[in-house]
Parts: sequence; structure tokens; C-alpha cells
Amino acid sequence: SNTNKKGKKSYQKPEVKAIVV
Amino acid sequence: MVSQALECDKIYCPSGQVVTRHIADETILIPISGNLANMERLFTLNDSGASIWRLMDGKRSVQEILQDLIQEFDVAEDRLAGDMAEFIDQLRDLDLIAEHPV
Repeated sequence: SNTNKKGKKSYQKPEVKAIVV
Repeated sequence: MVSQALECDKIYCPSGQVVTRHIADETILIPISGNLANMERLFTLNDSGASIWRLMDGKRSVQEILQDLIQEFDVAEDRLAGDMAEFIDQLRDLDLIAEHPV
């Protein structure tokens, strides 16, 4: 896999994707 | 579309039935049963999801996580709050997080 003029990362809606102590 | 309310004062942490692995820029959640990994089903998080997951440490409230993410991502607070509420509901439904007693 990451910034705009403000130094922030572009945003995508948070996702959990179901499909290695 | 129903907008979900974000319960800002709640504190969450990973449930005792999941371990996290960071592999090649991927955040992978592995359900465990007893002391063994359940390899039939894994979960992956995208970048913003991984940031939320990392901040769910049993210490920060949802509101604190929201503020941290606003600093990290270029997103309006209202939109992020709605997305976070939905994301937290998904994690709870999957038993990946548990509410931490305040």
C-alpha cells in the first residue's frame, strides 16, 4: 500500500475484510 | 441510509480471541481458539481500519481515537464519526473487540 498539502494521509472508509502467542 | 451514532465515551480493546500480525504492510487479524490459531478465517484491515485498531488499546476512548484520526487523515469529523461507528459495530459483531470497563 500512503499525503496531501496538510501532511495528512488520504482517507478511505475503514474496512474489515474477511478471508501466521 | 441510517446514520449510526458514535458512542464516544466507550473504550474498546482487542478481544481475547484474536491476535494481530503486521505482514508486508498488511494488518491481519487471526481468531484463536484455546491456544491455536483458527486458520479457516482471517481478517484484514485497510489503512484507516488498521489505524483505528492500533489505537483501540483499552485506554483511549472512542472520542480520543476520533481526534487522533482527524490529525492523521484528511477527513471531516462528521464523516469519520459515522464511518467509525459502522466499523466498530462490524468489529463487535465479529467478536474482534470487547468493551473495556471504564
